[in-house]
Amino acid sequence: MAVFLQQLVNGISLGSVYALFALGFTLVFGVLEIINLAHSAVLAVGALLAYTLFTRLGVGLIPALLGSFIGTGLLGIAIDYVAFRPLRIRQAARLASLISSIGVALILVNLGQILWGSEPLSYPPGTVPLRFFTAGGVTVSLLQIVTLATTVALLIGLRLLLTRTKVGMAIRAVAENPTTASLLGMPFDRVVMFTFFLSSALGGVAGVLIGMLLQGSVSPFMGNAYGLKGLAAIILGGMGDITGAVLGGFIIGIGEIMIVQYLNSSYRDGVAFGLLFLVLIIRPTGLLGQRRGREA
Amino acid sequence: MLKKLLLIFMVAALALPGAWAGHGATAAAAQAQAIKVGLAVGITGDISVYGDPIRNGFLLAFRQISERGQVKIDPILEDTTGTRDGAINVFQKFIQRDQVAVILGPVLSSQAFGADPLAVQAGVPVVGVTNTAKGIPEIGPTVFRVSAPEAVQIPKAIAVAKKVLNLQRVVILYDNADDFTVSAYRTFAEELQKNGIQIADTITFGRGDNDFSAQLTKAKAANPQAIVVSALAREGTLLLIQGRNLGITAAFIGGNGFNDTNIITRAGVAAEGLIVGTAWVPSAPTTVNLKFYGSYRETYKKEPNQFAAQAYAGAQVVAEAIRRANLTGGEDIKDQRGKITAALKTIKNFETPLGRISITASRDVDQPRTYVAVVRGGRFIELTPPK
Repeated sequence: MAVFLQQLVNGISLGSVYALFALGFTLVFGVLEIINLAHSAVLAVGALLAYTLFTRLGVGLIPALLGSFIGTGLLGIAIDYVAFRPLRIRQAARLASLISSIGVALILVNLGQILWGSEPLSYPPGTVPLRFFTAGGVTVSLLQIVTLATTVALLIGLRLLLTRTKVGMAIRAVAENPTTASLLGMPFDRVVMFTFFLSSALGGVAGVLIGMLLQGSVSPFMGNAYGLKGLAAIILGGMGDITGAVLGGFIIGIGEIMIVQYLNSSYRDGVAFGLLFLVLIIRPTGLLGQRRGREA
Repeated sequence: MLKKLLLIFMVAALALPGAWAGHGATAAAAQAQAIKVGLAVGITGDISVYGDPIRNGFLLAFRQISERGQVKIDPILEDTTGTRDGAINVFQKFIQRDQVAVILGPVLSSQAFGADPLAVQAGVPVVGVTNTAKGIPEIGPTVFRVSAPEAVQIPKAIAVAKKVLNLQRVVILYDNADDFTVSAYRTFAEELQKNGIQIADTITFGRGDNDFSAQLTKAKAANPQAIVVSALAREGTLLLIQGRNLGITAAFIGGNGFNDTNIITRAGVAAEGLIVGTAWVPSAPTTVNLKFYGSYRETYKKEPNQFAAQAYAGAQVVAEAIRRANLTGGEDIKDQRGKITAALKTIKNFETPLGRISITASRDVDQPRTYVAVVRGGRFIELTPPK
């Protein structure tokens, strides 16, 4: 029983990381139908930025998180400006933006290697609260609780933002139909800018949380492990649906962990993607995905 | 730019025969042109942890060799990154564009399995300095290595650990996405069985993973005395940290991938008690080793590790083979390659930081003395079983 509970804790922890990653990933897809494969590189940049803030400026946890949030957010705007906007203006095929995003990912990872080196880093001791609670053979770390809470809070916040605020409504309008939204006076460019800022900033925060949760994992390559899983999570949950993304993240995270415990660790990825395959056969729109009204 | 400079030098060397050879009495008067040696090292990418000391070891050795002036060598360094494709690209460049006479590297066994066949096909001798998986020299008749294979180091580590920890029950964790870690896993499993140690569970993970909580929780549940890990440095470090965070108190026994002081620096207290088989310890009291250790620290302001020592030894072996091949540098490149391959086979009882090593008839290394080390107080020290 203790083993099951411990694995459940591990699964929820891994799931919340996937969910955090998937949140920003799905946001851009939902609005612009771009699969931004550079999102995993942005996650790494977020974690590395926080590392610099910790080591060079000696700031605390909250300023580091905030700095990373803003830094990666601005990076997101820059990515859109350089890699996606020119394609949008020329009305290039959707595949072009996918390839463009792979290019951005390569550039960011290599730039990260030049700036931070390629050796994995740890946040300096004392910056990250390393507290562990053990009861009945189950260990939970304070950071796991913080990560889970952050994921839930961001999900709720994002939902409120999209449904209750003017900016959110503008985003949804643009997502629904960019041309009509522009004709009705929606500031299309600014909405896109905001979407990229938010998406990348969420990726950055996910990076910092992963860096804290898994000491010694901060490197330009750290995002690689999340790119495919994040994509699987948003497909599973329903492309473009933020609640679905979080749900998908948790299902894949917990699923992977339980497969290691109760089946065979070699099947870890196989079963995760097999599950995705099954869901797609039964429900092509994903678990929470709505059939899209508009035809491309 | 570098190429141009090189060209100017070469022209100068041709125009002024004797100007170089007359430099020292020991200089081989016959060798007019430098022999090109390709160094295939993963400097960037996820294995840079290994690449840095390996590059340093090579360059230090070649600098000292050129100071001695017995042979003229032109080392060409290229970055393979951590991938098989990266190594293949570098090998292609070395063989076709640079026309090197001999190659040192690549870092990983998996890269060697991918790239070495190209060299075999072209008849270029390759000397692996850190490839420890089974079957490396068997790739082809021009592939050599100076790195003691896992098959030699692991039995020793297990035998010593068995005595020290009174081992009866272990769990194995291994990376099933890398040739070297899989090969080392098989050797571990065989050796544990031979020693009558029960393997309670065998659990896998993949290179590039970040989160090992599931595997470690499962390993902990099996209640082993020790966890045997076959992993590369990055994953190994994460495993140690996460294992201790999950409250695992069992000892960790690692393969060659753990042979790096960086792991201790990164994992901190989590690395305490880690046991590894190693081909080199800083304290080996030979003249060559003391010289290597001292000049490495002086040059790079860092502690050398096993990989640096192996790279240094590999460069020494290659330089010695070039000396024995009696090349002028003017020969056809095929001729150079063939003669160096033949000369490599004659290396016996050759003094290196790894001790007196020999190249066997099957092109593998014969290193009489290897060690088992344990991390205590933040350092690797030799682990000796109680008498």
